[in-house]
Amino acid sequence: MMEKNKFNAVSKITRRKDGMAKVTGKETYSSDVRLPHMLYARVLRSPYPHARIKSIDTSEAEKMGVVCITYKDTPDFKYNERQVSIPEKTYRDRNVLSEKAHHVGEGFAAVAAKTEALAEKAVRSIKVDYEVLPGVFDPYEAMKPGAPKVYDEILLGENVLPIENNIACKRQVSEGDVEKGFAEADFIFEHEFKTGRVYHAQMETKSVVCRPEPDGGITVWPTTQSIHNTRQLLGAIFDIPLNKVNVHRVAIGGAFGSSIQMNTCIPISVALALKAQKPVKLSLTREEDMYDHCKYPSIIHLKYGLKKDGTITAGEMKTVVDIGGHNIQAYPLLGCMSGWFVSLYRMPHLNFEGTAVYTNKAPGCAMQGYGNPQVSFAVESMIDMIAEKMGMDAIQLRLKNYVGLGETFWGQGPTVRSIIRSCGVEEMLLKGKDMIEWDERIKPEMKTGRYRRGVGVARGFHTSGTGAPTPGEVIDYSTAMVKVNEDGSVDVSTALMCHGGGTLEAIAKIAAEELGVPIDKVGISPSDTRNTGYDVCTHATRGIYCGGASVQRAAKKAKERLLEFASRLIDVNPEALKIYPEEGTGQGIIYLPGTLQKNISVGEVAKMAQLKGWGTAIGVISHRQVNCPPCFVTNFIEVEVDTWTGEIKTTRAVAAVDCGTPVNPDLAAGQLEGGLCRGIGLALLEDTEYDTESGELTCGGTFVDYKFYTPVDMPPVEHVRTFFATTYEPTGPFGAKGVGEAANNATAAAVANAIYNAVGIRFAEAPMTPEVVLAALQKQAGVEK
Amino acid sequence: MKMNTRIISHEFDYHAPDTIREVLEMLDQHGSDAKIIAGGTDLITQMKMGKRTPSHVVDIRKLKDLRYYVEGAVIKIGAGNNFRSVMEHFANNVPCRGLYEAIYSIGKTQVLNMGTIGGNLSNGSPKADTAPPLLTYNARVKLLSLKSERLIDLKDLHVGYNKTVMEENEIMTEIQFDALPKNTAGAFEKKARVGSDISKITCAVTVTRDNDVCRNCNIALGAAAPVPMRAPVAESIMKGRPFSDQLLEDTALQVGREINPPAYGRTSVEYRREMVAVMFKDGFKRAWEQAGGDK
Ligand SMILES: Cc1cc2nc3c(=O)[nH]c(=O)nc-3n(C[C@H](O)[C@H](O)[C@H](O)COP(=O)(O)OP(=O)(O)OC[C@H]3O[C@@H](n4cnc5c(N)ncnc54)[C@H](O)[C@@H]3O)c2cc1C
Repeated sequence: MMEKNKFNAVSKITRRKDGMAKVTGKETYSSDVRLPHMLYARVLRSPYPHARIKSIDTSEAEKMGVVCITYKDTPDFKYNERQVSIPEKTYRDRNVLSEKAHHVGEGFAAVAAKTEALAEKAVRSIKVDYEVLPGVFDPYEAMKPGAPKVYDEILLGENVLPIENNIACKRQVSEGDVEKGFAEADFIFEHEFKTGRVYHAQMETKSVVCRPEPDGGITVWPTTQSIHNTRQLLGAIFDIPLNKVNVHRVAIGGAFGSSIQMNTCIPISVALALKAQKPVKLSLTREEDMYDHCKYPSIIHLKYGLKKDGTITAGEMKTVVDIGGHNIQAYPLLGCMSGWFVSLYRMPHLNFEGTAVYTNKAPGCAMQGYGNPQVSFAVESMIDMIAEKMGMDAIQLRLKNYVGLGETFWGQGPTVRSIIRSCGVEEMLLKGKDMIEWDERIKPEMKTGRYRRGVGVARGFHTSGTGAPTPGEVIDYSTAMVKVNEDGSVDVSTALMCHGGGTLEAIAKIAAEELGVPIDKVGISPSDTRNTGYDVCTHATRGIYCGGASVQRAAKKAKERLLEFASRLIDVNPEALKIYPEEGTGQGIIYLPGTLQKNISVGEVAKMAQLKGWGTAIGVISHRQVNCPPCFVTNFIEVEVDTWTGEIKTTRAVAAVDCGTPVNPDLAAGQLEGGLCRGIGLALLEDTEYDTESGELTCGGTFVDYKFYTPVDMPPVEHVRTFFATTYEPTGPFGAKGVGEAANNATAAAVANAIYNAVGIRFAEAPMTPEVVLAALQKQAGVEK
Repeated sequence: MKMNTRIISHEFDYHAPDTIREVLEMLDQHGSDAKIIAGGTDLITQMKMGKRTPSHVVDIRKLKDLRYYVEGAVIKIGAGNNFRSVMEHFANNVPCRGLYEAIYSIGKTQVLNMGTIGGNLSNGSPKADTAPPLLTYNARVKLLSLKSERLIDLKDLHVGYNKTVMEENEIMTEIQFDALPKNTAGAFEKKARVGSDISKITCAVTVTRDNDVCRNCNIALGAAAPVPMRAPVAESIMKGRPFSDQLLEDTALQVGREINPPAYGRTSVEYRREMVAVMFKDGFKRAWEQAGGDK
């Protein structure tokens, strides 16, 4: 095992390469892209949750001199904005513009004009005759016979898939014999849990600029987590060869999963640009963005069987997911939810049943954790309930049953299995327990007074990517190019995206580490789809583990070439040479260990290789990781419940992650803090409610009434503590795994468990707002209302 | 979805006059087509949401004449002072603690820097956080037009949900109140969804204490009715009586009865009723401690 302090670049705290541009406002986001002759677009969106267009009249708009398109003008092509699944598992239910609305905010027509204000005016002048259809807003209502049909049929791959009872898809997974497992148990526990329809609230709303090219191609600057998937889908929809579709990587102002897919505004701007033959920008307003996507809400029914000694004999999870008006990735979601369930605790016999249901609400899509915060909320609350009933310590029960080192892990669902090779679960539980003074906990019955504090724990994990030994239903690989420039500096080129968490900073460190050059010498090249090989997406917590692994391998190739050049110059066998970063000269120095002579700088070698015509030291590789190791997390949270008002404050938190080697320690700690903040929000605050009359969001789609926590709502800085388990993942770049999504998976359950410890009330439904909490406290106290 | 909060969708003329007189002339000239903009923290939001579509926007931020303080028997605050300035001005003022706390609870940095006290009151919202403490001071506001100047009681300013008695051609120039008696202190309590947020409900208490006797207990509430309101019946329970826990409980219950919250908004009627009682007690206790005298 390599020790941390042996690293030169990895694990060092650095000044981010993109930091200066970001803090000075000079970074270019897609909404900052401005091109000559550019037009601004607006979209006509459905005011109704469920409606069909009888007729549409754009003549008034056209009189204003704008470019106008309707659903009649866009390609007759059903697509799914998510391009990560193999085609046979891709559910396709949408068009660039639709003639039927499946939720408020679905686009029917669009205009492009010289100013956004004119576009807005023009779009409002479009006359539409609607056939308003009855809507359905509850998944159980939707599954009843006779309920309004959100769809009659869609496409699965190339085949027509009829939709019955609004069921978008189902998934069932079992192992062993669950009935036998329950029969073997001494105790059976069952409970139902719910989580809300949280909005991503990423800082930047989705945006895009598309420029039509004279050769019939298009160049696109979108908000996206995957430039290559955006390119491929645009090529398919508009029937343009991929070499004429160029998608640029633009900095993104936050994601949380909201741009995993090719955002729906992108093909609309392409269609307008092709018609206008001018560049077109389309930036969503916040309210449009809020009607565009949300986190998958969950209803989870859990059942566990346990022996008297605390061994789990069987487990069952049944879930219903209200996916809203489009099926973006419900099928892989259900697979993952089974994986999250199965990989938390060992169950010899298990059964999972998942049902995804269409309703007339904004579509659900992946959001930090992809079903994992929901599943962990249920399972980790349940484990606490079981421990309580069985009189066991909640930490001991976890230690007894968790899936750990050497065991099979199928975090990303039944088709993606691998063996766990690094695991910090026990370390995090035991260290965290001391940090939060777990053993000082007293039972809720012993607490009195208005303000009551409680401490809760919860575990979680996420996968690092979706790699596996065999290709499954989900695509996962990355491509990287690393080259050594003639002055000893290095360019790294990859289509990998950074969502703000520092992925590309990590990539630079990995390249620097492998090459032995100072981190300052490594630059991250701007990238677009023409100049990079395929990278699936920065999602699934795969940036460092998968993207980093490809960069490490590309750097290794470049290094081999470089050392071969060096060997010609200093007459040493290349295998004997090593490189280290020399601070004084700021150069990588190639040296023969054990001698003081025979040193030469990376820059000198690269320059000589150029002058002598040997070529460039360059490495290019496409690489698929054959594992997706779990990055485990543990949260300990202390809450204070005001029993007079139902308000809950989080007062202390310990957040730990086993991310293997933390490549960016400060940024990884920041991820943990961010994860806490959103996780506490999931537990206590965030949800999008709908008015079932109008089908509109009750918050109206703006941040005036969609609320999330900010630093002022977090525990005081000195009481938020983070740490890293001291593990090393043998399959990861320099021992690294992921962090991102894992960071918020354990939080909501830790909060619920802490509330239980404070007041002895189990909340199984999030968000636990003051109104709900106060009502429960009054019920507990026997207050008549 | 007839809304676009990225831009202001309609066109308007922007004016930034140098004198109050010019402002008043413009208001006179354009009538209901004109809107004053101070910090813009309410107006811009309303314009982006399409709730207001003035064709003339008259900026009063340049007017130094609206940014002043006068201390003395009557305390005067220029309506153009921004939140930060008012907060800092009252930072160590024990009697006016409620106003300080109310402003402290608002928005955060950007809103404190941009929003003005005059805008907060003129906007007419029952949720305006500066209204309850000022109501407990029996504050008055000065309204000026080309033809008249009037001083009205703040309690008469708001006449309905988002409605004030201000005429289209009037501007608010000043907020004033009589200096508070000694042994007075106040507090402001706010329930909201997150730390910096528009309130679910608020309660301001200003107490004057004469040793154990509560000489005066002024109570005002925000988001508790279509307008910011006082709770006169509850106040009368405390007034002139020696403090006791029972009296506090009785008063708190009465505050809950006295409010008239709408059934919509950021929480339920039920929760609002229960909260005002708790908030009153919390606020009162803090104010009572601060008001000095023997315990
Ligand atoms: C993020 C955010 C958070 C907020 N949080 C809070 C909060 O916690 N509590 C709270 O109470 N408010 C809050 N607000 C609302 C707002 O900041 C306040 O109401 C503020 O005081 C408005 O002042 P302004 O100067 O910005 O007014 P403007 O928006 O400029 O004007 C508001 C209205 O008053 C009129 N007006 C302004 N000044 C005058 C004047 N001198 N004479 C006549 N008419 C005038 C305008 O024509 C307009 O109709 C928040 C707003 C935002 C954007």
